[in-house]
Amino acid sequence: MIFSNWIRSLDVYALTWRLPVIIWQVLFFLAPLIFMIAMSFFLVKNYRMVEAFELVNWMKIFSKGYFWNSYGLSLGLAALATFTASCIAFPASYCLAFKLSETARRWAIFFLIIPFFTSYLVRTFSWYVLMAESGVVNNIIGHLGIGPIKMLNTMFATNIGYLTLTLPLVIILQTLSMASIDKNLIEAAHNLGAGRVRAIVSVIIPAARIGLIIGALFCFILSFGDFVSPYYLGGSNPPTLPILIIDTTKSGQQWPRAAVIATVMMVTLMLVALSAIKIAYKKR
Amino acid sequence: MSEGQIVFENVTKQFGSAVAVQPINFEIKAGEFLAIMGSSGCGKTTTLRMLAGLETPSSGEIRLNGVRMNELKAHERETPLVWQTLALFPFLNVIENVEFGLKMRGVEKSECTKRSLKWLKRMEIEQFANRSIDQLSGGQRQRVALARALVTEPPVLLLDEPLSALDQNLVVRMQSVLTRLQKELGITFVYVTHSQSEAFAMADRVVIMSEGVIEQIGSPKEIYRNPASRFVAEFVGTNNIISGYIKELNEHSMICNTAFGVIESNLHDGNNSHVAGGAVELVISADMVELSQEKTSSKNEIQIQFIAEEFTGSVVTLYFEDDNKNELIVQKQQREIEPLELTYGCKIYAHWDPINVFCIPEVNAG
Repeated sequence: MIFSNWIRSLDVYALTWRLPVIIWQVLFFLAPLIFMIAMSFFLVKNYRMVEAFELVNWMKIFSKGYFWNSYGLSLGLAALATFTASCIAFPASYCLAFKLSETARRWAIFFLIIPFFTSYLVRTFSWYVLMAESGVVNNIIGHLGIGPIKMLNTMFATNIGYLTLTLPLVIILQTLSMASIDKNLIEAAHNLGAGRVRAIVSVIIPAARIGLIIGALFCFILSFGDFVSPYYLGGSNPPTLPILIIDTTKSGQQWPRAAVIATVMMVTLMLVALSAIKIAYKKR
Repeated sequence: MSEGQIVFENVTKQFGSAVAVQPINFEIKAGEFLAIMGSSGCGKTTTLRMLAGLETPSSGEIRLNGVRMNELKAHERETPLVWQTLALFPFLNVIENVEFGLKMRGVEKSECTKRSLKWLKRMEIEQFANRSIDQLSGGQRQRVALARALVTEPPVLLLDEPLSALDQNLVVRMQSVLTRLQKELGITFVYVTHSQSEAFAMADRVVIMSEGVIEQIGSPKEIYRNPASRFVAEFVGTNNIISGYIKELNEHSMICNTAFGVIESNLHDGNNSHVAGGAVELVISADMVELSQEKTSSKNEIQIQFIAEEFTGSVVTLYFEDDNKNELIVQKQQREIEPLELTYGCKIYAHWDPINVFCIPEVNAG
């Protein structure tokens, strides 16, 4: 009875338009996700995966110290990238949002999109050339009698890689959120006695809160899941979770254990995203 | 609270090559309710924003209580503004909005709360102190904006069309709130509006601006009865503006030839530049025209034909034409015209006292 009411209440027209998205999400997101979670309970015998429902993979992974180290490292590196990207982006976005004309801002956003035209891998390799032991930077400072400085295969390099990936996006999101602040609010802050810095702290940041947090969230998600930077620039030692996944699949076809790590990452990102969105849209 | 006396001396404002404000000179007396009125783009808002330090004058000097203001940054001035959009901070609740100005001045937290609550009480919105802004009605928001601006006890309050987004009945209520507040505080209010009814209802004096120039400064009555230029005469209220030539001139009155025939006008103070034969523009307020069914043989009497009416409650605006299709506008109380039993096309008589005929000074005089 309730079910038939529910069927009747469905808007067929709206459903028709929604259907492709629903099918896509079910086929290519939900189904693989469920398969991945299921796989984390499978067993590997003689290098072959066997369907089962055992907690052994979970217990193995959770009992390994190196897993927790990688987890901590991934969280730390992603948080560091999020912090540095947000801090570096803010003055740039402030300038784009408030100091430039509408036209100049449009061009700036266009230029910020250009990095996405080329593969992130290519951009990472250009950093490789710059930061290598005998790379461009060390060559230049070598002439000044400094160095060589070890940059490659450090967390610094990993962070540079993360910023390459995320900074343009963070700036775009911050700029758009700040540009849409009602200018009267900023004038009102000045009018009520706030100097430039206090207007930023007490009006612009709260008013642009949603964009700032969503920008930071994107940076965290992309960095946390990125494999290219920690692998090529960070030297994959110590490994972050994405590198751990690759290592696990390579060593003895341990796909179920990789699935455990992937599921942990999924859950972590979901929790981070949900709490970020909750904070961003917090009703006061 | 101290009173704020404001002087504009040869103040101009240009945006690039566009001139927003021509050199303007005027004084706002301490404790005065001054309205700056004009249509959009006339420079009234720019004038107000220069006073608040949100725009820098291109030249000239603005003084508040004798102190030159030009170099002071907006946040260094005591000139709170109430925006048309109110510009309340949506991420702060009601009392936090009101506390903002005090907090920026480094007032201690408990003192902030105490003084803000006092103002919320005064504006009769203390029960909403912890509400968020979007839970308030338009009128309540208005009161929050006023409390936020006045909590620092400034010498002057600037208002930029604050009532234009409200319903008509609420506008009238807020007008009385504003005038009472201004009388009680004794501080200077500078009120920018395009609405004649708001300006005339509240202001002690009204400044009329057009294209960056001040057309007239005066009490609402002066502006209404004795407009200084054709612009003012057309802008304020419903005036009949009649062009003509002076036929005869004596010490107290003049006789003019106009499209409506001969019109006699008293000479009012300050209008002594007339010569016989010169062109004049006469202004007769629509509510100063008397109507009668029979000829009364008064001065300035013409026969007219009823062509249209506009009913706006107790007051009716009536449109008439004479035989040469010259239009005459008359405003009357509804109950006054009922005995006339007007029907479209009927002919009646109109006359007006020479004392109520004003003469617009010649353009080159301004």
